Amino acid sequence: MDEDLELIERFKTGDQTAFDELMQRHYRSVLNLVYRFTGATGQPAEDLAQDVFLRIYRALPRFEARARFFTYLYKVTMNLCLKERARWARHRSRTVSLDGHWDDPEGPGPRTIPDPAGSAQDRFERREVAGEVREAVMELPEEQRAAVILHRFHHLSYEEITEVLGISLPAVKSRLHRAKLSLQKRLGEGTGESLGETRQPEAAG
Amino acid sequence: MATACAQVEELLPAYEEGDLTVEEARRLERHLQTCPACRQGLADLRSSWDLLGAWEDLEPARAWKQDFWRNLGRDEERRRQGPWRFLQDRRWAPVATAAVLALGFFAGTFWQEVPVQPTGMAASVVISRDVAEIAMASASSPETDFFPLGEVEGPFSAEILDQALSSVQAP
Repeated sequence: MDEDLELIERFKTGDQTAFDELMQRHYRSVLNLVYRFTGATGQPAEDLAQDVFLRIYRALPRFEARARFFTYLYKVTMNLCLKERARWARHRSRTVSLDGHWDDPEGPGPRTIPDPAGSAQDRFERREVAGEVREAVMELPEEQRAAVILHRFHHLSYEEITEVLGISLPAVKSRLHRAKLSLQKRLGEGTGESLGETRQPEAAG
Repeated sequence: MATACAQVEELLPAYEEGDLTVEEARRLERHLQTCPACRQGLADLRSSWDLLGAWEDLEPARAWKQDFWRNLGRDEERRRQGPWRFLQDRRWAPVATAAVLALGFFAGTFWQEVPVQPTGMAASVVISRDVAEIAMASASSPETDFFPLGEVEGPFSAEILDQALSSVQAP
């Protein structure tokens, strides 16, 4: 039996430590899904992740093992993120900005773990690149961004993404396809000679 | 031709994912062998996807688990208190007081302006007062047209007046 489902069964019989273990397995994932999808860091990201698990805690007694737990968990997370983003957008001027990092005492940029082996220069450069990547992903349309994050950072298959986002397989493929082309143009090394502009006429195969 | 390159550009992500048919993949590979720009495009596609890995994870707060159980405790407490829990919050006391006073003021103003049909004991008092007034009018001018008991003698009118007045004073 799936380890998550075993923990859920234990939780249903009143074992609170089972929920503790379930959170231990998935909290980091949920926090980072929130972080990458909304751009929120620090306390707003933690609050949202905590809220996800509060909802899961309430709903788990009615959970039926027809779907995999993590797709259900990600679905709840995505729905909550969309709801929160709409709320933040309404109160943008007096709460967290959508671009993230405002309430983070560490200032702009994610709280990364410095590589102990790397020099200060290496760490600086890594942070620069990470910032560019973050910007490129955040600039993607929301539906493409969701697919990219689930596929690239959470390693979900196309089929699992259809479950989380509630869309068809062709829709998943199409979103990833568009996103990859955008990222290629934004982050590719050859962006200076973008495709279709510097083609060699004789190159037609 | 540039048109062929544009078509190849569109197919590159599907090629990378292995979603092309064997024939489509072969044609694309033939094009790549002769087109450096499209080869660069494929390299960019791969490198940009790999580069996403530079976006590092956010580290959870140290006390995230304790925070969760504390938040759950608070949430359960709120649920126990029900939807009127905000009334128990002292911060709301001045607002609630002002609201009650304002409601009382407006209700009073409204009550004075709207004519009210008396009922029960209040109605009997009003009717008794009317009878008294009529009786007094009758006593002072027995011939008055509107009074049906106009021809009644004075002492009888005085008796009615006494009864009516006593009912007004002690309903």
